[in-house]
Amino acid sequence: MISLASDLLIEQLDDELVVWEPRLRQLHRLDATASLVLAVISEGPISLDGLLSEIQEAVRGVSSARLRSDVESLVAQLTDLGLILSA
Amino acid sequence: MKTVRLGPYTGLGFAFTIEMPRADRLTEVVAATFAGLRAEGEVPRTAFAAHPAPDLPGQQWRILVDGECQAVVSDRSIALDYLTWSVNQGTIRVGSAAYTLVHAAAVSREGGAVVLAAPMESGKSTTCAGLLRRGWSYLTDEAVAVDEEGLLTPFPKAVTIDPGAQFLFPELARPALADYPTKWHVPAGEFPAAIASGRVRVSALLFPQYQADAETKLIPVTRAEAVTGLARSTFNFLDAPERNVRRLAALSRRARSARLVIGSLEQAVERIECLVESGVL
Repeated sequence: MISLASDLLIEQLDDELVVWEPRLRQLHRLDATASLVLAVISEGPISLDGLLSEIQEAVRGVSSARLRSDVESLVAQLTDLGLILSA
Repeated sequence: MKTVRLGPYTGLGFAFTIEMPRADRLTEVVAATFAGLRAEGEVPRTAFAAHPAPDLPGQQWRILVDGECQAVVSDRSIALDYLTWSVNQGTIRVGSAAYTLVHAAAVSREGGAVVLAAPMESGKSTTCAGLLRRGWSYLTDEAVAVDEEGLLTPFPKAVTIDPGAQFLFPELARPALADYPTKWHVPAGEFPAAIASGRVRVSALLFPQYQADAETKLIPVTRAEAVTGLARSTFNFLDAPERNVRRLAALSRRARSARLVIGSLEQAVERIECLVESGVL
């Protein structure tokens, strides 16, 4: 399951996010795609397939294989940044 | 040596005086340099002093803070630079409690402020001086103070003009305090501009970058980019990061944001004034 890290400060600015991560004390800017992924995860713990399904609805014209590859890459990056937890 | 106490002065709650020799050309320059921070009735907490050091070789000066020698400098010009730097440091230290302090210049017109946020030598003070020459009101060329309501409080220290930009402002030429080129510290009162009165709302967040021979242009940036850009330039960001992120985000929501590539001062001023004339600000 994938879930949002606790104690993040998230500011929505148009279709992007600015996120303060207090453990590593770093500020991140997420582009529109990463912001969409984080927004879905912030609604509650979700599986990768569930996340893909939610994102698929919001993103049109991208093949399933491409979408899976992109979302997996984003999840890995967001995990490395300490913004989400993957178990 | 007879001395005179200048002040009191205040910057963002940092109240201070400066003791100087009564009869020295530097004293007059220091009084003019800090005139924009004059604040009658303030109770000074810090006492600076600058005294010649005749017991040392050359033209050296001692700089004291609350009676303790902090530095020995080689001449009057460096003494002025050191005093200015010390006041900036004190202002940032004291002002950090109440304000988010962005390393930036700011000027205002018609009640809206243009913030120029950038590291040193990016052209922010020069652009600020160019706008002051055109009658814009002055907030600061060093630390933009953002309060809890997202409004900007002036810190109208003297405008610093580096040697490389001085040829752009022949009307502001200073009497030489040293035999080599040094910074000019120009009081706001020497420009055809007023110091902004009270707190000011923000209209534009610009990120200047001087590039010799480049075409001068404004390149829009997203609000999120503006926040991370401001955060990088915030002196006290890590002192209260959550507070500061909220304030910077609120600031960016109220403003237009752009990177300002500066090839020439004249064109940079023109571009910014066009934003006002076109109603964007």
